[in-house]
This record gives sequence, structure tokens and C-alpha cells, in this order.
Amino acid sequence: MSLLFLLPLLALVVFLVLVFFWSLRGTPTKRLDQFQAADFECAGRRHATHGPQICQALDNRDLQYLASAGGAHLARRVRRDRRQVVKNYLIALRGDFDQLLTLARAIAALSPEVVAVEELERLRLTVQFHLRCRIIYFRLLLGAATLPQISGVSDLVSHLAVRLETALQELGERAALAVELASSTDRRNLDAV
Amino acid sequence: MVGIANLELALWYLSLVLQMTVVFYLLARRLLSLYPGLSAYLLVNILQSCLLIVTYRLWGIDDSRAEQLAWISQIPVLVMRAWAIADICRLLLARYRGIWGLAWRVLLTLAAGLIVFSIFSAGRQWDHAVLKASASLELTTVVFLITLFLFARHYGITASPAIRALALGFLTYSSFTVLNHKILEHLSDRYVAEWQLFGTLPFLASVGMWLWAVRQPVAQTAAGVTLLPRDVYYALTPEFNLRLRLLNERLNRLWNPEGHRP
Repeated sequence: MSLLFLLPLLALVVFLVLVFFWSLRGTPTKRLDQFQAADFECAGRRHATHGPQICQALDNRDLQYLASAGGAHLARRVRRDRRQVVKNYLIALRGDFDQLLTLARAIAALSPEVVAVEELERLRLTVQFHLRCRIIYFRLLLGAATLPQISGVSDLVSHLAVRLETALQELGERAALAVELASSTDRRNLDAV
Repeated sequence: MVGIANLELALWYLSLVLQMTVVFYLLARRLLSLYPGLSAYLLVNILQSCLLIVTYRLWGIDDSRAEQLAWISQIPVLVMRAWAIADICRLLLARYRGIWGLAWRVLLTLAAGLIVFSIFSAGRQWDHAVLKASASLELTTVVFLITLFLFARHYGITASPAIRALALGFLTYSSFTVLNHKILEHLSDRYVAEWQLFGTLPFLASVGMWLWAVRQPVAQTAAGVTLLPRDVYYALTPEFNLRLRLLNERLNRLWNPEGHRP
């Protein structure tokens, strides 16, 4: 007796069960009960602040100077190395944002009320962000992006670095204050018991 | 065939004993209020089994009245199962008040949509309709549970071993039932004996998991959470989203510079 008719449904069920086990695995980020005020204070500050150096790495004038002074071979090698730096920077930037998003989700989970529209919007933006990051990364990987195009990254990251630095400082201070407030309430409750 | 029938009957009685053991545990450890849905589901299941034993002895297993009664008695069982699964959602998310408020709306909409789809896609022929609707409802259970745990993962909420085992029990039973029903739908009468057997085996495994779950320490399942002040969310979330939107716009410009030239 042939059970070929079962294959599509079997594949679907196996896929769903695998997704279930994947969702059961420990979350890639911190668990909610492991968050501390310090996490909010240093969130996102690690890589985003290196924008100026990335700008320098992508500067066309550098490469032109290298081509004239050291030859085309050296210029190509430096260009390749710098492209790699930008790729690594994009990965690191994504890591910073993942941390930011984790904090945003933790705040949502620990809030007594959430707004569905804001949550769905963040989910949509997160998917969009990851998708775009990957597309740009693969373009860089394949060398499909020309240097002027890639130099757009410098514009992106330098602006973003400044924005992040100031925004996260504000957000971090407020979030840290909120966590402190929540834990002091908790301590008061414990004392009462 | 007689061998299969005897084995199936033995497994049926074994599942009955196991279900009674779970209910006994819930009663003895005063856990009925913690797992009301699971308790009600198992009790109704036990009652259904008793009813079917009487009916089969009275009319015989092949009697059409017995068959119809068996399918109709599935309705309260399914309702109680829905309650038991709702219990899992509550145990996993209710501590996080804000997320819970969002989750139950999303999950209820999803379940309602899938159930309506199950009913409409079942067709009009009684034999096939019941089987198809049943398979679709089991698939609904699987999708529902997965969505629930994806939701929890998205927010970094970790399920206790007891909740995991409860969910895994329902997932195991529903997954196997979907496949089992599909085979029966194709092979019809040639598969009836095996269908009964392959329906009972996963159920036994599921009851085993539930038994393990209810024996876990209660503290692990019902721990409290200290929530942040209400203002924090309203102050921070729009800012997070705004910054993310700006970043996406910039990434879009980088990806497609031509599209953004004035």
C-alpha cells in the first residue's frame, strides 16, 4: 500500500513539530528574569559609535591615493579588506539592534498594558530591518554594490551612531530608572511578607 | 485482526487507568484549580470511554448508532480540550498582563479563523465531513500551540517544564491524529483496525506526558512577575519604533539609491 498521498501532510506536520521544538529552545537573548538595570544603560553603544572609522574606511580618496602611490594591486587588496570591514560592521550593527529590540520586547512583556498596533509595527519593522540588512550584506558579499553605493553605508552609520548614542542614553536612563523602581517595589513587597 | 482488536482494547483500558491516575494526582495534590481545563477534559474523556464501552457491548462496534454516538460524544471532549489548551495559554502568559491582553485576542482570532475554515472545508458528506473536520481541528490545535510558543519566545518568556510537557502532550496527540485521519480518509475500511490502534498509542503517550507534568512542583508553574510602571511602555515603545522606522528608511535608501533621487 502506497502512502505517497501522505507525504505533503507529513512534511507539514514534521515542519510544524520542528518549529514547536525550536520555539521551546532557550531564547537566543536573555530571559526576562535575567534583565538588570545595567543592560538598559549600555544597550547599543558598542558598535554603532564606530561610524567615523567606517566612513574613513570607505573614503574614495584613500583608494585613489593608494592606486596612484602603491599601484592597482594594492588598491584592490585594500578595497577588498575594507569591504570586509563594512560587512563585519553591518553584522555588528545588527547585533546592536537585536539587543535594542530585545530590550523593547522585555519592556513590552513586563508592562501591564501593551498596544497591539505598536507591537505589530515593531514586528513588521524588525522583519523589514533584518531582511534589508541581509540583502545589503549579500550585495556586499557578491561585490554587486559599487564603492559609491557602499559609501552610502557611511552616511547611514554615522548618522545612526549619533542618533543611537543620544537616544539610547536617554532611553537607558529612563528604563534603568523604571527597573530600579520595579525592583524597589518588589523589595517593599518582600519586606511586607 | 482479532490480535489488533485485543491489543487495542488493552491499550484503551490502559489509557483509562492512566487518565484516572492523572485525575487522582490532580485531586490529591489539590491542583484542580491550577489545571481546571485539563481536569475537566480528562473527566469527560473518562466518561466518554465508559459510555462507549457500554454502547459497544449493547449494540456492537459496527453498529451505525454506536458510530454516530461515538462521533457526537467527541463534541464535549473537544470543548474540554479547548479549555485545557486555554489553560496552557493562561499558565504561560497570564502573569505578563500586557502581553496576555494582546495574546488572547490574537490566539482567539487565529483559532476562530482556523475552526471556521475546518468546518467549511469539511464538505457535506457525513462520513467524510466528520473525519475532515476532526483532522482540521487537530491541525488547528497544532498551529495554535506553535503560535502560542512562538509568541512566548518572541517576548523572551520561558515555559516551565510542566507547561512544556502539557503542550507537548496535546501536540503529540493532535499531530498523530491528523496523519491517522488522513490515512483513513484515503484507505477507508481497509485501515479501520489500524486507525483505532494508531489513535490510542499517541494518546497513551500524551497522557504519560500529562502525568509527568502534573507531578512537577507547582512553584515552577505559578511564579509571579513584577511588572514595570505603566508609563514606561508608553514612553519608550513609540521611540523604539520611530528609530527603527528611520533606520529602515536609511537602509532602503542604501539598497535602492536610484528610487530615492529627487
